[in-house]
Amino acid sequence: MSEGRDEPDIPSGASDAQLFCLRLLGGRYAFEASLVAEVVRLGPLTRLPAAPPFLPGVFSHRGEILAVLDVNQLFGMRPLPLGAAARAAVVRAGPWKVAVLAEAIEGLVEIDRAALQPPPAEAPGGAAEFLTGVARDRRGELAVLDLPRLVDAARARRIAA
Amino acid sequence: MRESRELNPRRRPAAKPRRGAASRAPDHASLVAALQALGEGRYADVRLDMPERGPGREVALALQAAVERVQADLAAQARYADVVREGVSEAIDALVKLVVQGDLSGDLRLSVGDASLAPLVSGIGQIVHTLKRFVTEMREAALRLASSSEQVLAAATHSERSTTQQAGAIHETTATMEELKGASQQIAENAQMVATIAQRALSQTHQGESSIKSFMESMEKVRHNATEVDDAIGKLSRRVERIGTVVEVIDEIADRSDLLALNAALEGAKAGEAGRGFSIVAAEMRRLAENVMESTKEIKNLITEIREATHAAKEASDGNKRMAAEGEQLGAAAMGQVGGILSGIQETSDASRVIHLATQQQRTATEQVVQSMGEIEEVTRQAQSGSKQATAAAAELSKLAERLAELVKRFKVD
Amino acid sequence: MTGAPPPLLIFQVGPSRFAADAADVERIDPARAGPRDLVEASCLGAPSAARCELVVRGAASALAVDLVLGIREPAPDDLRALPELAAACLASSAVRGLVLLDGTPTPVIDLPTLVCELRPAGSAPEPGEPHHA
Repeated sequence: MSEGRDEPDIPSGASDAQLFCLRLLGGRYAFEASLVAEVVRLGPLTRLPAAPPFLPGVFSHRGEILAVLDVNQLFGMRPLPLGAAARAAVVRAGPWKVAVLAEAIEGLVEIDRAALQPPPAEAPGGAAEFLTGVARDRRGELAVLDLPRLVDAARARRIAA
Repeated sequence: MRESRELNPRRRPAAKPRRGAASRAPDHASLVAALQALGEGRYADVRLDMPERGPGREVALALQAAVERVQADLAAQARYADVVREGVSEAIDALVKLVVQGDLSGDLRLSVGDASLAPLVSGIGQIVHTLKRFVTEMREAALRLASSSEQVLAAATHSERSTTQQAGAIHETTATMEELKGASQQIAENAQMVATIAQRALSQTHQGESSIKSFMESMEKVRHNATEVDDAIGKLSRRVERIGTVVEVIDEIADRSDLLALNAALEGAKAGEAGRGFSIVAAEMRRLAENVMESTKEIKNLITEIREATHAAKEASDGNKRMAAEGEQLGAAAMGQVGGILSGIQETSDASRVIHLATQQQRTATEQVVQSMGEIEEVTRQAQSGSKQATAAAAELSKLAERLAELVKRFKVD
Repeated sequence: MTGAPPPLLIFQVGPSRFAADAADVERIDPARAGPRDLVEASCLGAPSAARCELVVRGAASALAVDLVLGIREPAPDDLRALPELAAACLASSAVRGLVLLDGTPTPVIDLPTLVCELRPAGSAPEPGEPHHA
């Protein structure tokens, strides 16, 4: 489900980072909005044999078959829910096109780049490695993820699940 | 002639003729003496002088021969008599055996030497044979008699038993009829009292009837109300469900709109400045969708609450309906009982007037029955005594047959 | 892919459906049909009833499956490659692609590879068990 009901986010200057925010890992995480192709509702998932836990399966969306990435499971946290209301953001992270599963999708946020803080040393599940910064906006704290690196690392299985 | 001494070796030799008188004929005296002795049967005293020659000698010899002849005849006769005596003795023995020991088995074996005894033997044989036959017949007859007397005894006993039973049953019936006679008399006397009691009960029951009736009416009302409540609840439920369905649809639409708005915002962002207006519209749409979803969430909660309340009301209504149905059943049962009482009392009331007449009639009938029963009883008693006599007679007969059998048993025929 | 796609045998192991090149299946035997290597637990999962065995051509092994659903001749468009991330992350090379059966993506399994993978160690990579590089 989406959050927020106050004034719309009005896109402003180029010093602002256009981020796409979602809820996962128990918090608000965002990444470059340009990575996001679409927001989708998950269809029925097909499990793949011999797949890692962070890849719960693939699904068909408008004729295209997409792999689903559960970032929670990547960091050993409780799996994200896969119900009928589950939503994912279809992203292009480097060479990979993947549907990033989320608890909830906030959508576009604008953060002043100057306001970006360095990331904390610790983050839930060991995600600190992939944070580029933290910020705060009206709705609270959010952390900025380097999604392409994260997905790469997943692929390289350097992350113990 | 000179062999005269050889004729009777066992006897004392015949009188030796005196030598001296050989030539003379025996004298008249000795001859007479010899003949007298012979005539008197004193054969040993017959002595003759035997002259050696002469006519005397011929006479003496002739006399001697005659004496010897007589003696021989007598001996033969004696022998014959012995044989006969022996034969007869045997026959007597056999007969004695027969009579004393009753042994009729076997044939009469008599070693009889003399043919003249044959008739005697065969005569005795015939007697034994006849006796045998007679005894066998007797035995058979005794057996038959014994079995017949047994049958008669059995029949007599049976008959005695059944007549006793019958007598007993008849006696009971008579007794019952007597009781009935007595009871109907009492009823007639009490008829009046019954009428009074019936009247009192009738009025009380009428009161009871009316209160039951009003109870039934109120139960009917409760049930009617409960049905109305039920209907209302049913309508409410259905409406709530319809609202629920509509809300689901709205929810779905709102969700899709939200999604659409998100994607639109993305596109707008990608389009940069040109897409700004687009982004604003998209944001507005998202807000709208969010509002709708909030409302639908509230409505959904409300629907759940209504459902629960409806459920509770329905349960209460069902409970009421159940109770009303039970109440109705109880009321109907009570009414039934009252109805029964009423009709019973009615009957009693009317009947008490009729009872008097009826008991009169009944009394006559009962009396007649009692009389008939008495007659039957009498006959039965007679039959009973008759069969008792028969039993006694049969027992006696049986005993006699036994005795006869005993008697006949003594004769052995096989 | 060139030419018409080959007919695929559709089968089921537990709740999951899979497709395999029909040419790779020598025959379908009933359970316990013959003395040979029987693959019962693989990355496809473990069969619940194991009613049939797919005898793999060119191998001395058979794969125990729950159901054989039939043979389908998919249209060329229905054959799809695995999404690259998936292809890169799977622990088994027996999963060759996907086929859309009535719109549902179904994994296409290379049976000879599958039974071959299992022979050396005797244990298959469990579904979801990643290898550490």
